[in-house]
Amino acid sequence: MNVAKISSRQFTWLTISITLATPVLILPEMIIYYARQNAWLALLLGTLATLAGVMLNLALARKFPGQSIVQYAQILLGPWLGKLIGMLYALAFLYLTGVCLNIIAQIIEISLLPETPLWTFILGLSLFAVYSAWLGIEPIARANDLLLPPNLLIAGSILLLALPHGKLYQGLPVTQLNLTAILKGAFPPAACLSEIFFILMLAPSLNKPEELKSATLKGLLFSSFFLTFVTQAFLFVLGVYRASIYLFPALRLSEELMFLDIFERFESLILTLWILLNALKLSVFTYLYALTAAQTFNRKSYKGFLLPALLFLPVLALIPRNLAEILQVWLNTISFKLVLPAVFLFLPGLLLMIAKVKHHV
Amino acid sequence: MFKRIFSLMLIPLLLNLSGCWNRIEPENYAWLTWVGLDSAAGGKIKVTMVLTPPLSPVPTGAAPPEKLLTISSATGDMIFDAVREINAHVPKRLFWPYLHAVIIGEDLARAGVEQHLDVLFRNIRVRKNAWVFITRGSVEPIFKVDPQIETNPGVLIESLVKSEQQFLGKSRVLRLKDFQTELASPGRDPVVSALGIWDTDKKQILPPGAEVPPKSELALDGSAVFRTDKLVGWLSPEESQFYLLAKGEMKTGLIPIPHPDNPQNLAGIEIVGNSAKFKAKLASGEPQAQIKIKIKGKLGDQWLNAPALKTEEPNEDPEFYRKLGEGLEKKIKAGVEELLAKSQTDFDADILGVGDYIMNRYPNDWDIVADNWREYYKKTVFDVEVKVDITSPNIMHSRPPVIEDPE
Amino acid sequence: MTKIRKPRPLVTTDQPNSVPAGRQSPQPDTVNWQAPADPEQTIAQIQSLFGNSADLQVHRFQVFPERISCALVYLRSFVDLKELNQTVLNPLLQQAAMPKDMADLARSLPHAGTKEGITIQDAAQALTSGEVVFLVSGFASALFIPLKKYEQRSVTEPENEKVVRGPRDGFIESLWTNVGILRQRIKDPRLRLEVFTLGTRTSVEVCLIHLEGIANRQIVEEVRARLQRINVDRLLAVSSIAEFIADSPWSPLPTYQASERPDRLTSALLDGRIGILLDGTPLALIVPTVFWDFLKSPDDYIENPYFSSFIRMIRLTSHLITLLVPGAYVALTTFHLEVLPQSLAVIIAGARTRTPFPTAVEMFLMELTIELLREAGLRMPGVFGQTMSIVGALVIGEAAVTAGLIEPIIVVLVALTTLASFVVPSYPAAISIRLLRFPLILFSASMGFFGLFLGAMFYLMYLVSLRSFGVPYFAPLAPLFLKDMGDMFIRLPWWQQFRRPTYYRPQDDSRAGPNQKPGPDKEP
Repeated sequence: MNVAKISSRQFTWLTISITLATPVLILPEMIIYYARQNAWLALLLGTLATLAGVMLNLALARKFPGQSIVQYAQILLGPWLGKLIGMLYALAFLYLTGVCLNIIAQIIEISLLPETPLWTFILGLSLFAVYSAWLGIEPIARANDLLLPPNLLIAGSILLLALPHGKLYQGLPVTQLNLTAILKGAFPPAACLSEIFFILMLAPSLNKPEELKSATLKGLLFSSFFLTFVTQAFLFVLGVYRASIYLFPALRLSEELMFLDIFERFESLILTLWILLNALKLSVFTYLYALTAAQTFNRKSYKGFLLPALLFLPVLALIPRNLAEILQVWLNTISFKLVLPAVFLFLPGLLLMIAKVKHHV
Repeated sequence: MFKRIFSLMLIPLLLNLSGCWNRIEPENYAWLTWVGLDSAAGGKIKVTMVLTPPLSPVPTGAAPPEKLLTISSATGDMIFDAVREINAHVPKRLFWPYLHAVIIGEDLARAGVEQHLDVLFRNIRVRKNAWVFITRGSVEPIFKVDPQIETNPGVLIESLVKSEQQFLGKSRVLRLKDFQTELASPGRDPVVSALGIWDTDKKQILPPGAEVPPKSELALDGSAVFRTDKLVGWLSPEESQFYLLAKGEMKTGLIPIPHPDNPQNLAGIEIVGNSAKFKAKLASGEPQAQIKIKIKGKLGDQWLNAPALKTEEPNEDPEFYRKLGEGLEKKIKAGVEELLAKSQTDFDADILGVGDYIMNRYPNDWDIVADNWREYYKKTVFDVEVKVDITSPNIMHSRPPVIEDPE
Repeated sequence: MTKIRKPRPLVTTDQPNSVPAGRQSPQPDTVNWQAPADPEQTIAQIQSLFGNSADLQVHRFQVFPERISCALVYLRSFVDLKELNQTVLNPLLQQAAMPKDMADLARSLPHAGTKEGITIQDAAQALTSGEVVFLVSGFASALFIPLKKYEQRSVTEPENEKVVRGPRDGFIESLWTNVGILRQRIKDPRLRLEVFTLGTRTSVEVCLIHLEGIANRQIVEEVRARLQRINVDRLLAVSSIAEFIADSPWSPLPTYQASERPDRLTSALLDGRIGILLDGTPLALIVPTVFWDFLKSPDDYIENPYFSSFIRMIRLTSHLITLLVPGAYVALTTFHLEVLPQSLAVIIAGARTRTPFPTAVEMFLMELTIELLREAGLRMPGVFGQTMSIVGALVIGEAAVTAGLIEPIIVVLVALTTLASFVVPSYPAAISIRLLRFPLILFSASMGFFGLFLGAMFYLMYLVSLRSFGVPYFAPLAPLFLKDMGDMFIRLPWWQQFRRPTYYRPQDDSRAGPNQKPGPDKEP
C-alpha cells in the first residue's frame, strides 16, 4: 500500500493539535473541579502516566518499523485474532471521532448558535472530516501547519491579555496537598492525553522512522505544558469557583476579555478558529479509521471505507441526546475508562508481551 | 459512488440557508442597556429595563429621538419569568450583549440576590462585564431620571464608572463577573457600588423615597456591604475610600489631612498609585491577616486657614514630605482599622476576603474553619501597615518663599 | 558549493487517462511519398495539397549554362520577396556551373538554415512555416530556404503587469524575439531551449526553457513528457498549454503562472523553475508554481526590503479581505452582533431600519452589481467610460442608499472588497478569489462564523492538497519550509538570501555567497 509520508515536524504538530484541540475546551474544568490549585500537579501526574503508556507504545512500534499495529497484530496473533484487533482499533477511532464530533457540535450550539439544530454542525463537520480524510494525511498535515501556529498564538495572547485581571493568590500552587483529590484530578488529563495512541497507526507515515520517539515525545510534552499553562491561567483569572462551575472556562475567559475598553466578546471568533483544529483532529481520526479498516481487510485503498464513515459518523454523533449524557456516559465512562485504556495500554501491552515471548522462542 | 453521496449530503447543508435559525437582523433587536431588579408585592420580582433605539446614520431629515431611554417593566415569579413578560409588550428580541448596568433595589438585596441573578450568570448572551449597582430604597426613581449631560444610557454608565475610578475613588464599582465570584466564595462578602440620584437644584443626593425632581442626574453614593448574598449595610464614600485603599484598588482619589506645619490648615493628598498586599493565615486556631498598603501621592492642594510656614531656601524640605506621608499613613491606618472593626462587629461580613485567601492558600486549614467561618472572622486579628510615598507638590513649592517687605 | 542531491521520486497528482484506441485526435491527410525529379509534378502535388490556395506562388525560371528549369514555391503572405530576389534569385542566375547535387547548390546560397528535404509532406510543412521551396529539375529533392517574414510589433511595456521602477520591456508575439530578450538577461550557455511543434493544424512552436544545473531534472522531464503528450488541433494561447499540462485542472486557482515580463521569467528560471514560451503569444508560462507566487511582484526586489515586506502583507491581507469580508460582515451582523462595539452596531441597525432585504441578500446583490459594473466597464467602448462612473457612483452608490434600498455600510464593504481584490498582482488569482467569496456568503448566512470558517476550511483543504509538478501548492507555508521564509511574508535583503527556494527542489540551491553585508572593514 502506498502510504503518504509526513515529516517528523508535521508529526509533532499533528500530535499537538490532536492532544490539545478538545482538551483545552473541556479538560481544565475537569481537573480544577477535583484538584483545585493543585491542577498543575494533577496534570504533571497525568502526563507522567501518559508518558509511561507512550513509552510502551513506542517500544511496540519500534519492534516493527514501517508497520502499523494492525499489520503486526496479524503477524503476531495470526490473521483471525489480528483482524479482530484491527477491527477493534477501527471501531475505537470511529467511536472517538463520534464523541469528539458530538462534543464540538454541542459546544457550538451552546455558545454560538443556540437556536440552530445540532445536526447541521454534525453534518458539516463530518462532511469536512470525511472530505479531508479522502484527500489524505498529507493535506491534513499541511493544513495543520497553517492552522496550529496562529491558533496557539491567539490562545496564548488571549491568556496573556487576561492575566493582569487575575489575582495571584488564586492561582499560586499550594503546599497543603489533598492527595485523593489530586489523583482524581490526574485521571482526566491522563485519559485525554492517551488519545496519543494514534501514533500506533500513524507511525509508518513518518518519512524518518527513527525520529518517531522524539517527535511523539516533543508533541506530548508541549501539549501537556500548554495545558498546564492554560489551566493555571484559568485559575489565576477566574478563580477556583468560576473555573470549575462553568463547563467551558476557556469560553468564559475569552468572553469576558476586554480590549481598549471597546472590543469585547470575541469568543465566537476564537472558538470557531479553535474548532478548526478540532475539525483537523476529526479528519485525522477518520483517516486513521479508514486506514485501519483497509489494512485489516487488506484492501489497497482506504477510500472505500470512508463511505460508511460518512453515513455512520453523523448517526453516531446524533445518538447522545444532551451534554450530560455525552460527558458522563460516552466520554467519562466509555471513552476514558474503557476504550482509551484498552487501545492505549491493554492491547499494545498484550502485543508487546507476545512479541517478546515469540522473540525469545 | 462516494462523490455522489458526498454531494447529496452537501445539499441539506446548503439548504439550511432556508432555515437560518439563528439569523436575526440587527434592527429586530431591542437594545438592553440597564436592567433594574426589585422585589414587588406578593413575593414577586419586578424587572425594569432601559431600551435604546437604533441610530440612523443617514441624514433623513428627521430629528434624532428626543429621549434615548425607553422604559419597560414587568413582574414575575423569577427574573426570567418577568423578562419574558416584557416581551408581551415589547415585540422585539431583547439583546443582552450590550447590557451596561444591573441595578438592584434595596429590598431585593436585603432578601438575598444570588438565586435571582442565576439567569444572568447562566445565559451566554448576557454581558458579564456589566456593572452592578445597588440603590438605597427602590430602583424605581433611577428609571425616572432624565439625564441631561450624557443622554446615551450605555455611555452614561460607562462614563460614570470611569470618572469614579479616575477622579473619585469613593465607591467600589464591580462588574457582574466579579460580583459572581465574590458572591460564590464562602470566605468573602462583596462590597458593591451604590447608585443614587443627584438633585441638581438642591445640590445633594436625593434621600430614598423622595420624589424625583425634573432636573436630576445619576450619581454614585458610597458602597453597599453584603453578607453572603444579603445586603447588610452601607459604606459612606469616605469608608469606601478606605476599603478601596485596603484592597489596593484605588486608582486616584483625594484625601484631606491636617497640614503638618499647622494642624489648623488642611493638606489634600492626591493619590496616584495604590497597591495592597494581603496575607492571611490560621495561627493557633485564630485567623491572622496582614494588610500592607502602599500609596503614592502628590500634594494636591494646601488649604491654608491659618498662616503657613514660609521658607528662605529654594529647596524642598524632605522632612515636610515625610510628615505629610506620616499624616496620611495615620489617617488611613485609623480609617482602615475602624472599617475592619465595623465589618467584624456591625456587618459581620468578611469584606476583604480573609476566608477566601485562607481557602485558596491553605485548603486544609480552611476545611477546619469553613463551617464556623463567621465566628472565626470575628476573632480575626488584623495587622494594617500603611506606607505612603509623597512624590511631589506638583508644580509649585510646598512652602511659599519669604518676601521681604520693602519698608 | 554544489550539493549532490539524491533524486526523490516526483510526487504528482497528475494521472492522465490513457487515450483509448480509435479515439485518436484529428490528423490532416498527408501525402507522404518521395518527391519526383520533375518539378512540375511536385508543384502539381503541392498545389493539390494546398487546394490551389491563392497565396501559393510558383516562380519558374531557367538557370545554369544548361538552362535547367527550376521553380521556387512559396506562400506570398509569408515570404520576404525582396530578400528572395536579392539573395536567392540573383546568385542563382549568375551561377556559372551546374552543381553536382542539391547540397552543393545549398552551399552556394548565402542563407543559414537552408535544409534539404525529400518528401512532399516536408515541403508542405516548410511552406506553412514560411520557407521557400526550391525545386530543380533532375534532382529528387528540394531545398527549403527560410525567408519568413511577418509583421511584429516592437517591444513595449507590458500593459497588465506594471512595475514602478523596474525594466520596461515585455514579451511580444514572436518566439525568437522573446528568446533573444531572455538571452540578453541570462548569458549562460547552460540555458537550455527545446522546441516542440505542437497543434496538429496550427503547428506552432513551443519552447521549453530551463537552466541546466539549477532546474530539477525530474521536473524538466515531467514537463517535457506532458508537453509531448499534447494532442490537439490548435494551441492559440499559453493558457491552453497550461490547461493541458498543469496539475489539478479543476482547481479554481491556477497551478501555473503566466507572465508578460521577461524579468519575472528570468528570476523564475534562476530559481530553478521552468518557462514555456509559445510562438504568437506575448506570455511566458512558468511552472511549477506555488500559491504565494501570485503575491509576489518584481517590484518587491526593486524597492527596499521594509517596504516590500509591508506591501506583501498588504497583498495577503487584501486576499483575505476579498475572500472573507463579505461573509464575515453577514456573520457579524446577523449572528454575532455582540462582537461589534455597541456604537457601531447601533449605527448598522439604524441603517437597516429602512432597508427591505436581509443583510445576506443585500450583500449578495451588491456584490453581483459590482461584478456587473466591473465587466461592463471592461467591455464598454472608451467614450462611455464617463457614463459608467456616473452609473456606478451616482445611481448605485448614492441613489440606492438615499432611497433606502441598500445600507451604506454594505456599499462601503463591497467597494473595499473590490478594491482589495485588485491589489493582488496576478489577475487570474484575483478573479478566482472574487468568485470564491460567493459560496462563503451563503455559508455565513446559514451558520455564522462557523459556516464561514467551515467553508474556508473546505477551500483550504483542497488547496493544500494540490501540487504543481510535484511542488506542494502552499509551500513554503504548508508544509513549512522555515529556510524559505526569508522571501515569503517578508523580503530579506539580497545579501541575506543565500539559498534558492528549496521547495522548487533546485539541483544547486546556493544563490549568493555568505558575508556580503556591506560595511566597513573590520579593524585588525
